Amino acid sequence: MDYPEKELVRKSKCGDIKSFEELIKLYERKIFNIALSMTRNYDDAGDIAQEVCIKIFKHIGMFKEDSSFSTWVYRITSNTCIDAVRKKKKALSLTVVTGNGDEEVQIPIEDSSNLPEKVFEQNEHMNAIKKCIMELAPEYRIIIILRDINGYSYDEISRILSINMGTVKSRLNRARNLLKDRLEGTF
Amino acid sequence: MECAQVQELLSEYLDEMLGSSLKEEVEKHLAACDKCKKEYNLLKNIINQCNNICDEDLPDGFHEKLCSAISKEAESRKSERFGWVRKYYKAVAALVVIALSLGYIINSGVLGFNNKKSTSSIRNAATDSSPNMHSGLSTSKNPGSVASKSEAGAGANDISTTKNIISINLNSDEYKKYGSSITAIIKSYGGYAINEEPAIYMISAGEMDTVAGKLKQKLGSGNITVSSVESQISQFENNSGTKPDTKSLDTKKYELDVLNNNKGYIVIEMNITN
Repeated sequence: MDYPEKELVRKSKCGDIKSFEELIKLYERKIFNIALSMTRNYDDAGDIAQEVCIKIFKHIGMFKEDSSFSTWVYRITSNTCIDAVRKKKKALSLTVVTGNGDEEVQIPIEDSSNLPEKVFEQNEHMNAIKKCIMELAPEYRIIIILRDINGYSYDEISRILSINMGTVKSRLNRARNLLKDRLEGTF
Repeated sequence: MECAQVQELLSEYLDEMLGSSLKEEVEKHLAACDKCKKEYNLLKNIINQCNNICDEDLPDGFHEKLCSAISKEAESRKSERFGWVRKYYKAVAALVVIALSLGYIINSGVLGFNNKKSTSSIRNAATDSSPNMHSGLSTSKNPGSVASKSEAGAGANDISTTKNIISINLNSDEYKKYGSSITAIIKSYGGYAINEEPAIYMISAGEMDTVAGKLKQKLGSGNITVSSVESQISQFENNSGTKPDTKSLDTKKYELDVLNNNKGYIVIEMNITN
């Protein structure tokens, strides 16, 4: 039997695993795609999406039913993605100690699993945009993904990212202008 | 309107977030300025391209793999939960026996202590909310105090005092003033929210000292305590003087579950009073 989402949330909170499996089906594709947009790596996105869904399962007991479930889901998704991107950036840097031993330099290492040929794109412009989105800092990347790729309203973004409206506007403005500067001449 | 001003507003203009008078001014400027019109078209083009990015399909077997992981998680939670209940029932049973014995000793006047003084020292020891509560219990020599319980009770010795929670205590005015800065500090160290009310975050244990230091700098040391969830639960359960705060106790038990399931993490809890 198909239950409406609210009922699935209520049953999941009570520990009904089957209801949770039905509930997470409504979100897992979007969660995966947000992770894919953040990482441009299928394996990483799959792992992150699994991690997010399990976190939702673990913490659904404390979710307040009078607030928005989707906002809560995408908050966990955004935070987990940002965390993963920062950890990977750190892990992919090589720390080199100079000759006299008192200076360390971080050298970023190219992640070969993100080579463009691994992601098939018919549209050159689309490929260029995705590449430029990947070059943004995580907090700019996620806001482009939420607003311009997924179409969430400023209000929803404010609640998902737990930032005020002014920050949504300024961060989105900055992110779009960074994209525009990198893409100028491509279009 | 100057070009720089208009270009700052183009993003909101494209999202129809400007008020009518600002919108009119931007439109008037765009009609007359080729440079800003070009910037507008570039931005619009980029946003349209982003709008056209479609969702990809899930990897093969994603949902099945997830269901398997959820089953394993549910099983391990069940056995941990029962283990927790077993551990705390031992402690509670030991405390009941000791309390009955103490009650007899106090009422019989065998040791020469009066009722009122002994009862208030039990209540005061139980409600001490400092992070050193547990060590305070173990060093007190007053036979009427909770220290006797921790020395005699095997269950009390099981309580971990490893610091794993940062408690931020604010009144509503302080929260209005500092709330977003606190969230920003936590997020800047990789922390993320797992609950809205009360606000609970998770962060890597390695960041605990740094984040606690930053929060104390921002809010003052008086508003921040670093302690262990286990000792906080013990405090709630031993507080015989007032009606048990079941909501707070449930929150503490949830936090303990979270910590048991996520080794290497601590929780940050924001408590807001009126």
